[in-house]
Amino acid sequence: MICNDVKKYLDTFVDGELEAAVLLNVENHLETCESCSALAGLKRRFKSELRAVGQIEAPPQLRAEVLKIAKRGRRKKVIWGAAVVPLAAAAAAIFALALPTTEPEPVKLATYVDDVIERHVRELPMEVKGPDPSEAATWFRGKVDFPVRPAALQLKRASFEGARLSNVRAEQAAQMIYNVDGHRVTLMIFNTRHTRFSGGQRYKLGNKNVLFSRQNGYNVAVLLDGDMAYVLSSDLPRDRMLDLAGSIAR
Amino acid sequence: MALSLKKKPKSDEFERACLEHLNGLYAAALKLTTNEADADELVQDTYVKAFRFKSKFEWGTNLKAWLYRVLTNTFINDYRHKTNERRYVERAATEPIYDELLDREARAFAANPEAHAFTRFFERELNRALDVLPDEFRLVIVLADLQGFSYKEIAEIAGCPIGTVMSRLYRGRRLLQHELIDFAVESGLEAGKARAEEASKPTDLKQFRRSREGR
Repeated sequence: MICNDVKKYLDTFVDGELEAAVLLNVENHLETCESCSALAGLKRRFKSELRAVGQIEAPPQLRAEVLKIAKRGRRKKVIWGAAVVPLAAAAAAIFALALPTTEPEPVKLATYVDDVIERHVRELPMEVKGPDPSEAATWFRGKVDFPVRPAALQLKRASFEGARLSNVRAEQAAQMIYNVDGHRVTLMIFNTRHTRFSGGQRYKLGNKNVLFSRQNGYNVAVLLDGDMAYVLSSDLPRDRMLDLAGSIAR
Repeated sequence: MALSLKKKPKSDEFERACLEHLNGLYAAALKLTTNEADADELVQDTYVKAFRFKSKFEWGTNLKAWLYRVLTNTFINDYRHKTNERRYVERAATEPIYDELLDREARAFAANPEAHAFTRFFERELNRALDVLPDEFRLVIVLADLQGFSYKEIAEIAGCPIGTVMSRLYRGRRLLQHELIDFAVESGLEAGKARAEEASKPTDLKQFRRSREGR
């Protein structure tokens, strides 16, 4: 084996993944070739330095958060288990279900809004084309784990341009794109899993709760309906945004 | 090392086993997102998904690799940001020079490992160099070198063939080494002198074009 051949294998050699047949040849070469064995030494050192970079401890707050996430998952399970066993326990479980277990902590609206704005800005290709939003509603059936109702896609004085499958944080989302007075408007629909939001200005439009916030130069209006969120983002003025959010049929 | 659960355990064993990988997942998240706030979020999102899709985990298979796959997919779908790829594309053309430099580095390292430039300011510089690496290369390096996964495991986690894992590793490590040589040059260390000599040679345009077309 000549140096150039050996050099090709050095990474794999240092990773300990070289197949036996080649390994022997490489080892033999390294015993006699100073420059290749120096390179192997450097690569080995490099790998061990990288390993050291990965020796980090997670911050204690993060550990606490993850523990909470683990517990939330478990708590539900305990209730389910109890419900199928004795009657008294079942009654207790139903009682427990009716009570809020522990109030989940509110999540900053901004963390969700960031995602929505990012998707709004990107102008990714649409998977369903307008102008009929009910076609999009049909298209989403089976693709997202929540119903997309055609009525909820009819926005006041807006023309529907298309839709695509998207996501907001860890949730799947139905993304709709509209044109309103020449401005692009994105409507993102997703399940909040009953997350409570902190931040944003709160408006009461009839019987609807709308949150409004401004981020990165975009205006965002959020209509909350049970565990579903309808998030509108665009560069339209606030009043127009609130008007649009208010026009979403629940 | 890699924990695998032989049979379906009771109660919270799954969650417990997942939590054992928190430090590693955080370290990987930190290198992938390159900032603490995003790393924090990415790890939380990963656990939310892991616990939610618990039933999709096949008992008896590699839990560690499974968790890193969740982390990797979450990162690619939700966190990946634009990286400075162009810089590296341009750089590819100058690689032969770096290879020669790397050989010199290796000799300098062999002569005096402790005093070697690569290893002196290493941690900070290595972190910086990793951060500017394009995502696809950074991912395989994080998995192979920081977390010690095998090629086969990385192929499963990243969802690509082993050959792709190997070529990305090879290429990614070279880019990293080049980055560190640049640093050494800036600091006027051993490689700096060699680099200066190289730079004083006139550039062979024909060879340059040929090497570009070959790619």
